[in-house]
Amino acid sequence: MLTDDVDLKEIERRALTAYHEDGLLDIFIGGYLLFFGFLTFTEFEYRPILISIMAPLGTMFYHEVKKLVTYPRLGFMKFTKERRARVARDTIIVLFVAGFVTLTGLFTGMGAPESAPWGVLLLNRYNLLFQGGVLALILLALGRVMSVNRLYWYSVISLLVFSAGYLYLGSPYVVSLRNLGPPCAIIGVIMVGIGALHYRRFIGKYPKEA
Amino acid sequence: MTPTPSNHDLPPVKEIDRLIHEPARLLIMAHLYVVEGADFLYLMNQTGLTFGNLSSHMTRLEEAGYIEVEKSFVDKRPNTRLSLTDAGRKAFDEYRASMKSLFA
Repeated sequence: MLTDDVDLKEIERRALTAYHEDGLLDIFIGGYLLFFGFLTFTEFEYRPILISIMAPLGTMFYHEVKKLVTYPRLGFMKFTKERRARVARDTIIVLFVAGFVTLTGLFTGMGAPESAPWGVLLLNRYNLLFQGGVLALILLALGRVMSVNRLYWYSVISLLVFSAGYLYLGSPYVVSLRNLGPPCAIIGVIMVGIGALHYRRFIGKYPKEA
Repeated sequence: MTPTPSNHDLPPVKEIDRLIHEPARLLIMAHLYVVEGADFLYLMNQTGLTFGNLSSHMTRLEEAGYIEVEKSFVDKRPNTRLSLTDAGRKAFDEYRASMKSLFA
């Protein structure tokens, strides 16, 4: 239908979907969570530095892999300047707010005395649920910003895994970075696995031209 | 009895850009409209057009000044990048407007 053909929003949505059909986004975010989960188990002195530098390094590496895998198969497409600027701005805002909230929550909740304000005690008591909620919100926001619906599902999975972790650890719950490790690693494994399935399907659907 | 409309009562069908109106070219223009630029392979995958088909329509649109074609080599392989020119973007906007007014 002619009207369908000129549905520009649908065309833009299809372009975005195709661009993320390769599963690389899932693999990289999942890989980062897995790496983070692994690091929480180690006694490595420079853990915070490693966690911080892995995000920008991973982003650079992601774009390089995209050039090697996606463009020769799907072809190259450049989004409009407005869209690129909007995505970059929204992603920075999401990550900055999420990082601030996470750190505030983590350190406010850590070792709170009985006399601490009720908000701090609440954070202390439900810290794992709070962190799971933050991760779920990050994935939800990234899904919205990048128009990747799969991230919404990962957001739900994050909430479920962190809730299960909270129930498993039971009460009294001790706030510790180490407690964040297993849920992050589990979500990471799920994301990498689903990403790998998408990647396999993508390679089959768009074979590299000889 | 309903009076037969005279030619000047008809909607502005004549104003519709026939070059864009052709379905394959309309698809190419629409896909290029939502991005800054794309290469030949991407357009082939997204529009479902064959190499020959896309190539011939690309030439027509380039001759009309609606798209800009840039040929280069990426990793020693030929690469053709396409983007809408300002005239092409304007023509596509006008085409959409005239189609909307036609069916309004």
